Amino acid sequence: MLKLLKNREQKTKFAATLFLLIPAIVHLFPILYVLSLSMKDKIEVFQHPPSLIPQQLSFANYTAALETAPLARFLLNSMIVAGAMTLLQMSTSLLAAYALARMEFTGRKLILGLILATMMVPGEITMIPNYLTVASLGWIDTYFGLIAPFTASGFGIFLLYQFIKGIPKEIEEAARIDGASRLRFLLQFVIPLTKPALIAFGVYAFVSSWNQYLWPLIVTQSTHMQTAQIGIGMFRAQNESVSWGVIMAATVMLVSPTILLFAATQRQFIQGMISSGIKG
Amino acid sequence: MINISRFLTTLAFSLIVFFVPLFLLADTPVKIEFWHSMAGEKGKLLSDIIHDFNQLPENKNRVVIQPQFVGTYEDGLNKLRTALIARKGPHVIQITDIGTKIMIDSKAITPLQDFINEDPEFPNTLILPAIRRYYETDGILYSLPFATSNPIIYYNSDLFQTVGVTSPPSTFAELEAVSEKLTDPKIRRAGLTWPLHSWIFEQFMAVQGATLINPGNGRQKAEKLEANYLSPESRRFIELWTRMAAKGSFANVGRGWDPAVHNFLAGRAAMLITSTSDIFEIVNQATFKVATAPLPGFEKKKTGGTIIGGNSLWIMKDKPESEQKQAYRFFKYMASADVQKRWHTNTGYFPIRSDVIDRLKAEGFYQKHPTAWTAIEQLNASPATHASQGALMGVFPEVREHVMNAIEEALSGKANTEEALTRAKTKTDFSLLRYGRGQARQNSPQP
Repeated sequence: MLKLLKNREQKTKFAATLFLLIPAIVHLFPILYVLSLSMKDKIEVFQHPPSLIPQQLSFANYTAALETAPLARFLLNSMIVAGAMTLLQMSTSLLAAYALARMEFTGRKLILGLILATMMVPGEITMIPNYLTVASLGWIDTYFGLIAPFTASGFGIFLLYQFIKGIPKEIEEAARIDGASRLRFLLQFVIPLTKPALIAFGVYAFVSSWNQYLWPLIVTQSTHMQTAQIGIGMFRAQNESVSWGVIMAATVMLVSPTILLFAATQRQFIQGMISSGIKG
Repeated sequence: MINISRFLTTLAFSLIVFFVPLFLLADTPVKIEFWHSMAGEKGKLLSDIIHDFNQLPENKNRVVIQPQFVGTYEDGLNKLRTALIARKGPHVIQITDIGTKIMIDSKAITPLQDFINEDPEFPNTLILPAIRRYYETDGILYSLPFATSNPIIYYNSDLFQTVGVTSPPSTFAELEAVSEKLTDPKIRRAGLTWPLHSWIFEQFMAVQGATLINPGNGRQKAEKLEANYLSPESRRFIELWTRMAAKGSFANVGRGWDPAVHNFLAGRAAMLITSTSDIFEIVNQATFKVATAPLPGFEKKKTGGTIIGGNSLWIMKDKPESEQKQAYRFFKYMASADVQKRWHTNTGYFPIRSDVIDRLKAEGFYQKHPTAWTAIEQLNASPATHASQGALMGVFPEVREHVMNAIEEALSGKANTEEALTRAKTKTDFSLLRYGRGQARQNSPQP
């Protein structure tokens, strides 16, 4: 096998792939096992020793999961909420980061410091004040209420700030001399140049808003406004043995969007992570 | 410009003309929000029961109970705390047994007793005394016990026959001996398992007649409360547990309720001690014959009895009185014989009414499902003492954490029983002291 590989470079590559295959399998295993459990019936789930491949492929758990809870509605809610949060966080972060990195105004350092300080505050602390604000606006149990407290992100601003600072000043000066406005420069130069960071942040923002549990739980008051994460909880009864097959089927349906999103954007995700680390 | 503003005015006007009469004419039903923590099949059953209530002729277009799943019991309490600050709480909430004291002290609820006193129809005398005792303080029934259970032994009776054990253990010594006999390290089967949970510890204390906290399990007036973990009852149970775990006849499967059940179902433990609330689920899923037995005491002669566990329903105070009355009507429906029978026969929680048990007994239900009878027998045998009434404290969730940490220390050998229990006691006493001080401050008149 190794003889088939012509040069040294290919050999190293082959060895590296083999080596990386081990952690890949380790990481993939739980997902595959979830998939396998979701197709087993109640009795086979508990069989000892456990097997990875079900005796027969059955989708009964999937239909049972769809009957127990309005999963489609939960998915839709999660999509709307996480999608809106991501887009809003990306745009506010980009605008703020550009202003902080490139515009001269008094109090710039102070504002940057305050934004950085928000990264040190645990989210749970802001839960009750946020709830009171949302309640006084009459936004309890609405998409506004779900989204509003999470339209800006200190982390996003900081990440993009570092990135934009790395764009050579000369480019902007040249563009300005040629008559480009700040907005045009932002749209035509900053966005393409910061694309990896922007997408990396977008994926991060999407995953963290997708995974939110406590806030959606508190701010919703009816089943049709609840999100996917609470939906999974509906299967996970306490103080009792649960139907694992059904839980796994629900989990497969509810996590696949995030997995697909990551698979589609992983190149940018990784690139963004690496470059922000070097430049910071 | 003129066109636009005219258009908007016309639009607004027509909207008002169109919708206002709808609001006035429509018979808008009273909405009663009900927050609950029942997931999975129990959640579905609860929704069905509520749906039937909403469809009753006297409720149609008048009252709608709106159930909302609010996560675990802890999640529900957190949501309630936040919502109460903004006056956005529900009408009715389901709260776990150990949240009882928190709810009473919150002063945010209307005691169920207030409604019962004005309503001679409430099935007061039919509620099983052992259940009533848990939720009653100073003769006031604060909430409606809904789902109640207690711990029992589930055992693989096929295996008992093969190994030659004739009867399930009824004392600590028998439990140890039988577990050892059923253990087979070659096929990695332990004799016994149960969830690593403070609840198990609390139950084994109660079954020996010992209180969890003194004096009187927090159910009598006292200056200061303290943990009873250093009592002989507590020590000998933890010693039994660690000894069996060390010998391998007890399978320590860690925290959480599920792992123990799964080990039992997978045949990796011959006996399981856990709540009755799953009984039909477990019997259905097992590939062997499951039998049940009451929780063993220290000696044959029982000195105590098990505590009930589960949850109860509460009516919140900040809603209009008329809506609270509707919530109470819903409670009466939940306490009705039909609903109690339906809940019991589909879940394994026992009914709160004695007439339901009598009726099912006459119908031969327990002959067909002898496993379900054990819990009821055990419930009725439980004496009316503070010990088997269960502890009442506002810091129960964190106290459970202290107890579980101690058990983990003892099981892992990081500390001996004495050290682990002393540490848990110190922490529990401090929690109780802090809560007591907070309460005293709240209750004292403001200067």
